[in-house]
Amino acid sequence: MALRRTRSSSITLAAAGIAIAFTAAACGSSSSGGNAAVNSGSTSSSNLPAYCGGASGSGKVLVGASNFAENITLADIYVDVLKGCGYDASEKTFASREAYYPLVTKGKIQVIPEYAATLTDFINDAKNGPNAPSKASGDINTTIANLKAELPSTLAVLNPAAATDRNAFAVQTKFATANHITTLSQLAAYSQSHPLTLAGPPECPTRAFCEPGLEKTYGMKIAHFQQTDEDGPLTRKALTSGKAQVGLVFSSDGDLSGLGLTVLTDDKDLQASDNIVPLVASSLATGAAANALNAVSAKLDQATLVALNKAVVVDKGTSQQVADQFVAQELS
Amino acid sequence: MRLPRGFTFHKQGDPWLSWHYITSNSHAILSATQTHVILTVESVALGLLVALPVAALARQREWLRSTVLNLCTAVYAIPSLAFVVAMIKIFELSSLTVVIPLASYSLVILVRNILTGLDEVDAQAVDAARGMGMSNARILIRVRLPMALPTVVAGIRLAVVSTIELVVIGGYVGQGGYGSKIFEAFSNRSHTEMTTYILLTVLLALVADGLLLALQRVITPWRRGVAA
Amino acid sequence: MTPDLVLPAQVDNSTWHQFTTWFTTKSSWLGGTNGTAGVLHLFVQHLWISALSLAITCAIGIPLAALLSRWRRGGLIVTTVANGARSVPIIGVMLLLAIGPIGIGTEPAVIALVIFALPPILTNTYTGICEVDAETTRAAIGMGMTRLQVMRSVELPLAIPLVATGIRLAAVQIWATATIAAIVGSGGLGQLITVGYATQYYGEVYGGVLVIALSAIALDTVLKRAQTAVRLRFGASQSSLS
Repeated sequence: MALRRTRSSSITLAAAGIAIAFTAAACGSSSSGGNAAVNSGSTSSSNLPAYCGGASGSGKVLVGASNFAENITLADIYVDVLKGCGYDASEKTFASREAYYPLVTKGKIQVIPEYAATLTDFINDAKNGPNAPSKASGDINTTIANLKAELPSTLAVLNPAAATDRNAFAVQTKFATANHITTLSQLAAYSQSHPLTLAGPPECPTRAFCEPGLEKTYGMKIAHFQQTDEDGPLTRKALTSGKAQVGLVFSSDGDLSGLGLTVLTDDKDLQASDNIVPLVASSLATGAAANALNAVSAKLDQATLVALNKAVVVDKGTSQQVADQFVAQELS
Repeated sequence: MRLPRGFTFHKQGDPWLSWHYITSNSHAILSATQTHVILTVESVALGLLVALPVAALARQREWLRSTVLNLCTAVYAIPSLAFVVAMIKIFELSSLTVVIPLASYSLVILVRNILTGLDEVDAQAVDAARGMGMSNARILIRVRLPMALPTVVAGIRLAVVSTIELVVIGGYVGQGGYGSKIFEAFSNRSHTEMTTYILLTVLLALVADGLLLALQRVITPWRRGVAA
Repeated sequence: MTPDLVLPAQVDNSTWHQFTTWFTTKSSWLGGTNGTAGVLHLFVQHLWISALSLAITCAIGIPLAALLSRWRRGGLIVTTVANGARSVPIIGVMLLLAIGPIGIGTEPAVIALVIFALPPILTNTYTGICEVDAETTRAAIGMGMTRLQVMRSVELPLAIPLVATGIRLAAVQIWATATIAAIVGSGGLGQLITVGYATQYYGEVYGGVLVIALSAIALDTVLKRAQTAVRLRFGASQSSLS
């Protein structure tokens, strides 16, 4: 009996080992329905899609994403094109930039769909303290130049897309009309007599663009912070149910007006315009990966980004389906 | 502004359940199932591997036993969310971030069951074995463990079913099989995706429970007919 | 899923430093000036969610078990419901309710916690009532009691020790699981974990783990004592009746 017991447990372990090998193979193989994925695993450059720029790649690449719809969809697109060029690409999602960035600098994650201005400020704050003057600019070329100067030598940014997404604050349209509020300054004036509840992700009370920014730049009176999520369903529920009067959303969202929400004008320019830009490990700054990710950036204009977000959040494609279809329609 | 061809996506419904969703996402479902099963097997196997010697040790002295049981209570008091997040600082992207907490919970279930199983072993059988001149170690291996097997397997069933449910929390840190999909569905606000993966989790637990019950009947034929 | 194992990074000094700093800072416990919640506030929230969930679970579970005990197939239903509820991923239910019509905050958390805590109360109450001696019941009916009276003044009181076990198990389970509710914005001690993780302030994460685990163990200990007291009191009455 003793022998049988030992044997059976080693069999279990062996089975687990086989299963691991099996998944590793499965991760490298095609994903559902995507044309890009059909080419995955093939490294013969004659079969490679045009977006690889004639180069082919190999080896494991981990694409990280923040846990909100737009970022997950962009990461799915990145995975699709990287697989298309022969990389063994996979994806993991994280709660916030704070959570994934240390792993990027350690080289554990190789690619992230990033936002130029917020990333620049994030790195600047980490280096020079939270009160350091912002190095993000309204001009994307200046921002990218400053960002490149701040990045450690192990990291690089590729071409930014024309599409931007910026942090924005939304209120109920009813509320805005009733109180004649269209700008954040007007909301701040209103808040002096009616302190507000703000909804946002857990990191909001410590991030310069969020609660501290509203308080310092606009002098807004915030009585409570309702912890929700990063531009997700909880923030929307908090706003539509009236649990919070103002919430952090993104300017590229396609669903706000349908929910009876309005974005207020950022009249004191608290938020910089955030172009989407691939942050990559230096080893991927040239070659097939760079070609492919730059090809994605080239196709991402504002209308396309909004269409992608709408496809996922309103039209209910899975982010994988939408990503596959984007690569099939726009990149082949 | 618009591209020559423009990106368009055919609008899909978002019912609470959709067979079409399952057929058109079969690859994603299969790959999430694989990850979910592997995380479960790794966690329970690791838990079992540690539980056997720990339980054997706990039987040596009364104070060891109470220490082990108190430690078990303490481990079980750590909520899964807290445990997983605490581990990510140490194991980062390794699946150990999820496996270590889940193996610990399995360990608690298994240690308790193995101890109960060994306690229930008929004293007469042990006396008989001793009369035949068996050493304590041989009695443990040849008599006590086989007799405790039904309770141990029952513990494995419980550990597997609860681990399958607990793996889902791994989705919060980006690795949870069905859990990753459930969190993705949350970000995308997709009812169909969410309910599909919740039901798959329940289904997987039921299937695993059924398989283990069958296994339990095969390896302990003398218990057949006794309620599980 | 990365098949290759990464060597554990050392828990560095800064994490320990963060932890001690968090632990010794007044605002961690009492809340910050900028409105961030401290442990005290989160503890009260946690207590409220847990107590509400437990009360609702009891209000549903105990009558339901009593009702099912009257029914031939009741046992099968209790087992099925209990096993089913155990394999439902609770975080999935919370997230589903949060994107559905229920919304954020206390409501989705409480509903999910009730589903999750129903099995121990249901099974223990059911078993407790069914174990009441058939002769005791018959004697009560013989004394002219109605079915409802028998249930209220004979079966339920005799089942109290087991019901108490169910309530204790449910309470501890709810307390530990309420942590997850922070993900759907209902606050509670789990918020120490979600905020600590999102801001990579591990001092707060580890502080949170400690506070939650210790309070769960304390709750378990207190309830075990209470349960023993209940058993001594009602266990005695059981023997005197039968």
